[in-house]
Amino acid sequence: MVSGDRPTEPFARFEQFSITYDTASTPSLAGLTLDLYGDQLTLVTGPSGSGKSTLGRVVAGFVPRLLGGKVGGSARILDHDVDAESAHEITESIGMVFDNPFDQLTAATRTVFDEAAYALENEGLPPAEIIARVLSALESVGLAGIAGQHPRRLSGGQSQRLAIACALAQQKPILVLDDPTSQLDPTGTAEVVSMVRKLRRDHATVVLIAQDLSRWLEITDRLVVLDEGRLAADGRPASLLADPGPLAGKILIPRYIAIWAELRSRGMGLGDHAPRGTDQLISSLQAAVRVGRS
Amino acid sequence: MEAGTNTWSRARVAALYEIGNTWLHRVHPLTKLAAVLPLSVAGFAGDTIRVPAVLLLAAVITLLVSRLGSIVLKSLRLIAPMTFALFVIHGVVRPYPSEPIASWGPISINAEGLALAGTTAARLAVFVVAVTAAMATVHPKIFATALIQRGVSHKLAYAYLAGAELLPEMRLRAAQILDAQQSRGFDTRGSLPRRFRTLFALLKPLLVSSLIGVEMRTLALESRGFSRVGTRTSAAEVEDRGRVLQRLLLAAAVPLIVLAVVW
Repeated sequence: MVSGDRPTEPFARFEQFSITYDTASTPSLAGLTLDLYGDQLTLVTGPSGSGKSTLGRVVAGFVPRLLGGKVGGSARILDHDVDAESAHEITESIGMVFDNPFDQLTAATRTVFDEAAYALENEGLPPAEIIARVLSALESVGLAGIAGQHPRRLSGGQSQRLAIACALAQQKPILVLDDPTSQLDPTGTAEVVSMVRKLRRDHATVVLIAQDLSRWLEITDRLVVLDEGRLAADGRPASLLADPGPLAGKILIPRYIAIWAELRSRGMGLGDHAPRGTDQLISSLQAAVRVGRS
Repeated sequence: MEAGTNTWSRARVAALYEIGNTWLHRVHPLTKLAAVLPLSVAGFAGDTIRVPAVLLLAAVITLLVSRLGSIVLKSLRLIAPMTFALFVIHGVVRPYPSEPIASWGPISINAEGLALAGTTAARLAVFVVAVTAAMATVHPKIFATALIQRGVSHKLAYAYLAGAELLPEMRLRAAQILDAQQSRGFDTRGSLPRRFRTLFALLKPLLVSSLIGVEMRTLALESRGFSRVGTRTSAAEVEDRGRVLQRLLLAAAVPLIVLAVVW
């Protein structure tokens, strides 16, 4: 558990939760006990097959409702049991952005505007409100200028921003981002990272699933590590990664943390909290050098 | 996996809709759809080429006068292969008891066959021109909205819209797979057998990626309220009008059939 300031009630509560897909012989999540809180960016990581994406799909209300599976224990998201009739209400409140930037578009719209409006039309909102909300959402992800463009003409990064805009237009209070940069080039990755930073500045609740931690740690409030469907580690990134040794093999240790840990093991006074980015590492090194000189 | 410009240009949009503001664009989409029925039925009703030929001529002149010649061209592109096949099958390949008007060895051209091919082609042309004119002058979203307004299921409307986008979507996916295969040294040029091998090498990943895409798209649609029960609206407002005219057009099919049979 993460100590410190946090809202009192979690929006997601897993208690000894297990799920085995109908097509699998081993559980994707096995006896998971975990609470997720609002107004935080929770970064969920772990090796391939550790259950990260399944966790995201449970939080978004897709599993077991739409994808099936044998459930054990309990998981309650926004006070709805994921295995109950009312689980569709979870999906109505939680937005999800997938790893593939193109397959998550509806494939039935001819403009960026229509794509972002699709969910609001399904909600039955008045046209004037749809237009206002869509334009505002596209503006906030920087796509308002290409609202009339065909969605298939977008780059991967733009498609991911459009998927985020769809959730923002729906005013969903919680976002699950499933490895949103894994299929993007460096430009697209930079666009999405910058977008997620903005979301955090606006206090959005984000559950981010990613294997590569390096670009996300700076904005991560809490790090959850899964391994073979079980909770392997959970805490604030700076303290959890202060001793990265036990996590080796379970997560991709960012280079700046590996360097920091190595220098620290050689006796350099770099403090007890791991840096959350290259800038922080440089600052720590400059401070250590200054102390050494004086 | 960025959608690069090259990939996109190879997977160009093959949509029917043409932006414009002609009188045909301004007609309610369901009125246009209602007009397709009597025109097509009348074209097929008579025994001779006369009725479909007159209807076709009238439709083409109307479109040209309305500065919608591009629709005539689009229709022509759709009809041309069918017409060619009809003339080959009925005029050349199919045997007739009457004397041929010309023959070269085993190939003979028969007047009866040419007449049958001409009549069938004219009937199909009336239908194709009518449907193309109706669909090319209405934005798919406006058409789907009009259908939903008249009680058609939104799921059916989605199927229509997704169907309209399916071909360019598959082209884009195939172009991306082909790009990936070529970048790994796969040669797609050359002899016919080699091209067939290319086709098979393309089909499997195309099928697998499409199936994976379907699962993700299902979840994404669900996240956007696809299965939600209740009233739906549209950002594209469509005035619900022309109900009487649409009924009259549908009813006009009966006298037109009678006219076509009698003439």
